[in-house]
Amino acid sequence: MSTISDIPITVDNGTSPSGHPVLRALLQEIETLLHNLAETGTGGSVDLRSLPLFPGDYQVLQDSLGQGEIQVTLNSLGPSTIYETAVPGVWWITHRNEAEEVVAEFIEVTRCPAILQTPAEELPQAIAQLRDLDQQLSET
Amino acid sequence: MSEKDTLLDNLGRHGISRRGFLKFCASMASMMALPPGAATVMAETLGKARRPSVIYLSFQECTGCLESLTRSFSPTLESLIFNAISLDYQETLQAAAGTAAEAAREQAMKDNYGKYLLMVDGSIPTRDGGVYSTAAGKTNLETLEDAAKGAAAIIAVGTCAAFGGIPYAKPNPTGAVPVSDLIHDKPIINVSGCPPIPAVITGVLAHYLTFGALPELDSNRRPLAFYGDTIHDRCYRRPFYDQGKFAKTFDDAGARQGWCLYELGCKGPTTHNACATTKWNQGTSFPIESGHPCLGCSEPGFWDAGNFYSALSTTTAPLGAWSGAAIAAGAAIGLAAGAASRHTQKEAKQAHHVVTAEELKNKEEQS
Repeated sequence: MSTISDIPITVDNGTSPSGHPVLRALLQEIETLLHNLAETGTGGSVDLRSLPLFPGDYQVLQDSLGQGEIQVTLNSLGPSTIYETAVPGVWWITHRNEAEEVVAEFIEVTRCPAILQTPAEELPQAIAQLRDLDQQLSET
Repeated sequence: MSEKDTLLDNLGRHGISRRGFLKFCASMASMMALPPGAATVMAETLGKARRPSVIYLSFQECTGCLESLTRSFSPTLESLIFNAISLDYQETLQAAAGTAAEAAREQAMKDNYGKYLLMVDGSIPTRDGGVYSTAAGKTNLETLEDAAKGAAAIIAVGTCAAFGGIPYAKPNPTGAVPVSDLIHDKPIINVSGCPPIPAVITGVLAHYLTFGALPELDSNRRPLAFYGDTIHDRCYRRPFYDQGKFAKTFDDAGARQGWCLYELGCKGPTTHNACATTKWNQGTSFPIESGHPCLGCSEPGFWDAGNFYSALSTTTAPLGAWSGAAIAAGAAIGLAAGAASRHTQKEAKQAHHVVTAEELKNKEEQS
């Protein structure tokens, strides 16, 4: 089946009017979240899809924040990319579905995004798995 | 999936991890504009949700709503929620037909009496006893009243079910009405739009499964999370509106530079919907991003609100208002309305400049 990407359309990725007022407001918000993280240990997140950004504004924002040392790909229900920007504590998270459509996009201000941490509910299963492995090794 | 399984049990069997589920919940929380941290709460509660029974009835409609809900190029996160419900009756999707299908619906309603969700798309004809739309020998009116009795809540899908829609347009020959005109003793949530955004339906179901209640609604019974803002509030062209930069035609320099479409009839300032953020066609764009003004399809009465391409500031029916006054004030004003009408026609004739073949020829020679 053909997809919409097969249709030869060129998208004009315009940006907002001069001075980037929306992007500057967003950077202020991120700065406030960083202050909170430093002082209380609790950061927060910004839902990028809820903001009235021009298509080109995303690129400007990504270029401005840059990319840091860590990049992770999560393969569950489609690929998700999670990376720390060049600004420590500011993570860019993009969730895609199996068709690689973006379903959610966040900037998360945190030491480590929750989705990267092992779920506590899976620890008993992990212990059982190790016991099984040990059992199998003992039988060989 | 059995009745006792939780949503997470079912997803686990399909190889979906808790991280995947958390990702799904993060997407849902984002769509529903829930506060940060809600994704974790949602993951915990929704993961334990049992499978609710859903009866989906279609009345006077074009099937566009169902197309919107089910057509996707590949399995999406939204489909997970649909896997989690027991869709016990949907005329277009079900394999069963005739007596067997009707019997399955009756059985599902009996087994889940007081607990099932009733989804309705299409308006309901009421004129002449509702004879203008029937199925299995019953009018839509009878079917709705029967199914509503045992429903926990009703979700009116699309503008027709929510507000009457196109069948309700003047002169409304079938006496079409929305669900809320007929059912007064059940919670009703309107998910309007022509068609509605599929993610909104998923969001409403996820909210119901998570919190055991319908989400907060606006005065038109629409979920505030999706209909709380106008298209204009979230439109990426808004800065041009604020600067007074408007496209005057569909192909002028302003249109090409992405200026505001207000003067081309955009109803974004008075339309509450989530198109500007949720978007359509795999997140590609929404009407305004494609260069077309918003028609206001999620608002009551959009079908009779005048020209789609007239600016909101243009009065829609001055003659209608004058005619109303004529009824109250007598024939004198009626004559005035008639004169106004003739004056309008004369003006229109004057404004309509007819070009002769000779003029065209002269113009060609000059160029």
